[in-house]
Amino acid sequence: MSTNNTLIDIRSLKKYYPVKGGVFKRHIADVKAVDDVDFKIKKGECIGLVGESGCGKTTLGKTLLRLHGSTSGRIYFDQPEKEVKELEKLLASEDHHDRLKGHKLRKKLDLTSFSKRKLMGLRKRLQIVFQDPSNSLNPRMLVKHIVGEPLVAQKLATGVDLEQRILKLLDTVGLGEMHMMRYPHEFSGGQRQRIAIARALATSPDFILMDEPTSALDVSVQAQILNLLKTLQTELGLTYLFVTHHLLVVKYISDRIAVMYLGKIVETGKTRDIFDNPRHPYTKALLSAIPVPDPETGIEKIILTGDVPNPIDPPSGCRFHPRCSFAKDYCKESVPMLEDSGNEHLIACHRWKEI
Amino acid sequence: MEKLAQAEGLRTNFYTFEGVVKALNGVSLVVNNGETYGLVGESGCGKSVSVRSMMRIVQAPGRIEEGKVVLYFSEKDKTKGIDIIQRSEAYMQSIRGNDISMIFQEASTALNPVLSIGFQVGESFLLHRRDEMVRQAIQRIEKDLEESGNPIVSGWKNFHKTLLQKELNSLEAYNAKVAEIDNELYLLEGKEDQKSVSRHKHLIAARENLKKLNAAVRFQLKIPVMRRYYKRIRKEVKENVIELLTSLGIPNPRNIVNRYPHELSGGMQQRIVIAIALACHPTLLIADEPTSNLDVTIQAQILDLIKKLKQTKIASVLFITHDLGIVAEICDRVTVMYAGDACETTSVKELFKNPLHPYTKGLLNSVPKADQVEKLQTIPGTVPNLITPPSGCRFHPRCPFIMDICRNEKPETIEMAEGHTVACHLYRNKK
Repeated sequence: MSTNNTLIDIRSLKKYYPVKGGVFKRHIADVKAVDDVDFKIKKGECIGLVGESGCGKTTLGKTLLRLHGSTSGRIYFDQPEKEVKELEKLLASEDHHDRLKGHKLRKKLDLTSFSKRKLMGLRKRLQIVFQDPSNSLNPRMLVKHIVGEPLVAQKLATGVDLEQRILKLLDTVGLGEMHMMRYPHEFSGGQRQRIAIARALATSPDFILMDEPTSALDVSVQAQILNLLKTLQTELGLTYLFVTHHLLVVKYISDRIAVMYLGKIVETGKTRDIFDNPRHPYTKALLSAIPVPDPETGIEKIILTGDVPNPIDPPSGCRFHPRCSFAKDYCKESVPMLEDSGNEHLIACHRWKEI
Repeated sequence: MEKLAQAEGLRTNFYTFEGVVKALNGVSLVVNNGETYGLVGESGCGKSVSVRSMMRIVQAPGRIEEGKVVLYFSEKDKTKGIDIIQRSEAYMQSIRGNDISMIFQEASTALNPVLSIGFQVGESFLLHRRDEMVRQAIQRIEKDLEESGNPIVSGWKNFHKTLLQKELNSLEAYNAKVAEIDNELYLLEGKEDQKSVSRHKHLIAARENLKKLNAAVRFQLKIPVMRRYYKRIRKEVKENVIELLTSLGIPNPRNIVNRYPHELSGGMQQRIVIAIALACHPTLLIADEPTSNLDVTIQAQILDLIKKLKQTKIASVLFITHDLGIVAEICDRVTVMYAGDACETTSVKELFKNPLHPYTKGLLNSVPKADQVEKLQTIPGTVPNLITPPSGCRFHPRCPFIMDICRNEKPETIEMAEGHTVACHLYRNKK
């Protein structure tokens, strides 16, 4: 491995869901859940992915883990930067032979074209914690089987060793030996989420996708889980992608934030930058809409009109233009690219300099 | 401050297979006229059950065991209330939707998937303001008669007009009778001598047996050729629904009334539920987590709408939520609930500045603030099972300031400052 600190590098990732209809179930349209997304996740950081429901946050996360295939694009998981650069160059080249060479090389580096066997080995480094723990835990399995399953599947432990490792895992998430022989329904929501976290930690992964891990929990329990996740991250050196729609939670836990709107990333940057100085009009509206638990803030709200458009037929040009109060004619035509405003703060807006 | 609605010592139990769930443990709250009142707490703490008890819509295994719900809705005397727990179901039906109405949690399940939006919003017009609808229909016919000269058409219209007039007469007679009974009941309220009590019982039974439409009208509604006049009432209802939807800022209402709930987005569904609640200009609007599964930008829209309605159409709002951010934004006064108890009641500013109850403190500390850097403080443990609630103060197993008395005795509600009450043993001797 080289000395790069990028763990995951996503290049123009797309995920379209086909819409079928008519007598012969023809392919009529696509739901563009993730459309041309580029971004990087550094080692050991927690990156928060925020956006409204239906904007493709979860799809991006799941495509990243290859829980389902992607339509196009490349994902590099912990690959040397030099080779990635070379491959990108080959794939973009005009020459037919170079491109063929590139495709061969891609099978070695790109997560989206790995074979099943190769993926299986990688699975222990990539884990996920789902949104609702009452649905993601099998009601017929004992806690020790739930937590031990990844270890068994990856053939990492057996017998007494397995038992001890399960115990250790439960201990790290604040559960004990007496919980091992129980079923998920015997636990409260917070405890169930702890079990789900223990399961994700079982194979000692590098990267965990947190898919709204606290949205089904109460406020006081949410705080417990957030603290647990934060301690685990520093102790075990984990990398998180924290998908959520709760902006204060993201602010508390993550180092960097990516804001998504209708399948595209509209703004990324360090948490402090985004909250102190949001540049994209959507981010501004989103941040001002958070109800702040303080009656004397006096922040003026920017209230967006209308709903999120249908991702089957997204607006042309900048996808935010029908709801944007700064939209000009050219916003309807050309798609804005992510531009750097310095300090790793990227904005996809034609008019970010003016507003 | 005038009181508008008051619950006193409400105790509601649910008789389930596993045991008796003691959901409310003597909850008292007062909603004043002209304020937005918040009810905060974690899930399962009895917020929804409290307001459902106040509207008497607690469902099957649940039963209101004790307590009073007093409404001060009378125009004549604002200080004399009516205890609605004692009243009949027919009386409650005239109150619900008319004087108090409710926005339910999760608009997608609150709406009926097989009925059109126009029908669902129009239902409350038909139920509570039918006479008005009939009157409007008659007016429209009269206007049409002036214009058209065709004798066959005007004959048909005249026929409908007589049928509508019959229905109107019947409805007016019913309304007069009900007003008479309600007035007498109101005068009997609070009297406890033998004669009054039996008269009270008699009147309630009499009101229950009153029929809205008399036999002739019910007959004309059953005969196929005659009942066509009913379509004219429906048309008026539809016009009123469109007017209502327009006033709520719903785009393209003429199209929306013919659509079904699944065709609308979550935010729009929630607006429709609000429209249903507002159809009859209620005095008190109860909002049961109206924004809990909406996105922040849509949530901001809905909160803004409720704020505007509060200024123009309705007197008071009782707002249930688990989000302290929303409380800070929208409410004037708040009650914090925990496991079926009202812990602390105070004004919003006071709640965030000077929380007294240990649970309130814990709750405020466990929410990430706008500028949170240090570790979040948490409340250890989880909300208890209410089949076997903790003895004494229900918060004692999780409380950092636990004393011996907390295990045995339920704390009384103490008024620490004006309008700031708290139910905790810590403040027992301080006042």
